[in-house]
Amino acid sequence: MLKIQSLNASVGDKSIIKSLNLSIQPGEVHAIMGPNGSGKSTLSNVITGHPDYQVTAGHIHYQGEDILEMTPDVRATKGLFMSFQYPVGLPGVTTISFLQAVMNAQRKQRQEPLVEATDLIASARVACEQVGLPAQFLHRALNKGFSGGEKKRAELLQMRLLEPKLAILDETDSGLDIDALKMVGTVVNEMRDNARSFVIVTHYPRILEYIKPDYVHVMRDGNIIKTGDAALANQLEKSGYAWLDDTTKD
Amino acid sequence: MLGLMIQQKTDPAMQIKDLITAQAQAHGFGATTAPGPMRLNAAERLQQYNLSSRRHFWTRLAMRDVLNTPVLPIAQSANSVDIASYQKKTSAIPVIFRGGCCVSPQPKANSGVEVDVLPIDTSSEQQHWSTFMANAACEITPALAAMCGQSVVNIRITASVQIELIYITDKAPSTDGYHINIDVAAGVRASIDQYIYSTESAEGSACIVSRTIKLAKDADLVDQFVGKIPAISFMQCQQVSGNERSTYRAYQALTGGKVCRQVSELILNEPQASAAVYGVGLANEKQRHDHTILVKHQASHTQSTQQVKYCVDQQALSNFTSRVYVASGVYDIESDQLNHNLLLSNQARALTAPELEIYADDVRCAHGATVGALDEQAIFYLQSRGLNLQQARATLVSGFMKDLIEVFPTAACDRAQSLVDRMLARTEGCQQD
Repeated sequence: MLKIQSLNASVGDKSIIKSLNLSIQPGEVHAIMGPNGSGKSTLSNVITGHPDYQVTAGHIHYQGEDILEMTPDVRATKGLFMSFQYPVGLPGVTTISFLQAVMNAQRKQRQEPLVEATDLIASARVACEQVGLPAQFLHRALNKGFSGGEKKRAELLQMRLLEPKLAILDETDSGLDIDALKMVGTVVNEMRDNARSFVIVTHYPRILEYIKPDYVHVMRDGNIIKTGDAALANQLEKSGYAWLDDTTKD
Repeated sequence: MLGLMIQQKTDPAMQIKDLITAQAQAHGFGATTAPGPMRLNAAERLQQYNLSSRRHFWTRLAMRDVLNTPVLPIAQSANSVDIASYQKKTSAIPVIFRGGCCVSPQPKANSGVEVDVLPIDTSSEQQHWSTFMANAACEITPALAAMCGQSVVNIRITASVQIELIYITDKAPSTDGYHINIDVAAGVRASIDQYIYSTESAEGSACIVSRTIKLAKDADLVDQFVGKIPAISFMQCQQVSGNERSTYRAYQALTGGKVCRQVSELILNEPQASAAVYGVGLANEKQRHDHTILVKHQASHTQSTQQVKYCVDQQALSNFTSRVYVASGVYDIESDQLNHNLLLSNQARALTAPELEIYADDVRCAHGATVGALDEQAIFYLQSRGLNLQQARATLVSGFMKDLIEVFPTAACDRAQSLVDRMLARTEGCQQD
């Protein structure tokens, strides 16, 4: 589904991602862990197409297509989704009107029938319940005046309704309480199937108690320095990232 | 006169100081303190444009040229057939002004509205005219007063009604001037909708409206002005004075016009009077939108709100100048004064000066202003959800306006939103499929 080869990316003059390789198959859940500044969020943004990040070398193929020349909206239409670490507030844009706009924008590009407002409201209410967001939030400006946790729930609400093929959760667990963490796990597990993949970007193994990853990657200095299964996350929980210094030296 | 005096000086800081002092004295205030560092910076910036002051800036622009055009004889262009046709289409009571005079017939008896068209040049009306134009247009006042086709109209509202003030400018070159006194009787809840129309042949003309609005005890007036200003210059000066427990709320959404200038003086004379101005302006091409507001809290327990947003594109300019004045000895005052400007092009400009002048202690005044471009991170956020760049920009601009438009009454809100959508459809970088 996603194949990243020898990727190098920078912000301005600063090189951040360095010769990174990653392959994700349909239905897989990959966790990307690493200390602050290791390049996890940069990788998420590069995959999604943030214009501030320049790819200086390498390729990203998504469903067989090179997506590096595609704008973020084209990537989204093809099923890429990122849950933002810091979701942006949109004054004057209600959550429900935003949802209708983005869903229909994607559907229009895919030449699918557009969603009607009444149908959307019904499905959005169900999704709100699933992510633990009061339905009144549908009529509030998106992320405007939302708490940190509410913003994360609103991101999951969008993921739920947009039904992406590859979802990147960029530190969605940061700032969430235990119940909210469980909710994230529930939503991801319910959406998980043989065709949909997830990338869980996180600092902490705790979220992985609720979402069992197929692979755990550890990033440092812009590259993946170790890959393992869920046991790797447990080891990191016990020993911290310093433990990697010893193992990588070996 | 003021501008000439200032031009003779060389120190920009002193020019600003003199100007502020002169303006304050013109409003009956004492002299202001010497300008601080920010004033110096502001002065330097104005100097870059070869301008001695912000207010002087106004007088150098298109309005002066417009006013130098000949004036048509009053009432020459009135068309009774069109007006009769219009009156049948609306449930509101229309008061129609055209070609410099009021052309409406008297409303029906017992309608709750009385309209009197007065002879021109009555001394008190002339004094009123001069006072407000002086505030609005500085030294061009004498020329203005002399050249405008003037119609002086008294409107007395004694029942809860909706009135439409319709200004039609359809001849060029012309300068149509109207002076309207509006009295709202005690306890009456009324609304006024203003409309302005012109034909293509009127391009380059000007429509100038001066209004005196007096709200009696417990009166409530909603004053709406939503629409596209045609390719003429429009200037409106108004003084609103509120009696005890009166409420004045203005909702404005305006686009277009060569120059769209509003000067509002809101005087809260008696306890528990309140006044609010909610305005959005959308300017593009080389248009300029000005809004000058002076709020005078002259009684205790009074409230005022100003929320004005401009969206400025291409080479347009917005200018928000506002002062909240709280008199000595009053108490329990609340005032909000906010101006936000969104610049959509590198050549668009916004000038903003929210000012407070407070001589009392028990006062809560919030004021602020912002000028900025669209948030790149927000654009990316929307794009990452599937909106293309144009759709993302349009969504953000629309949201910026809608945030304020939502407080409008329902009908005005819908019209304002439609206005914004039409404007966005013509805005480069915001056109949607």
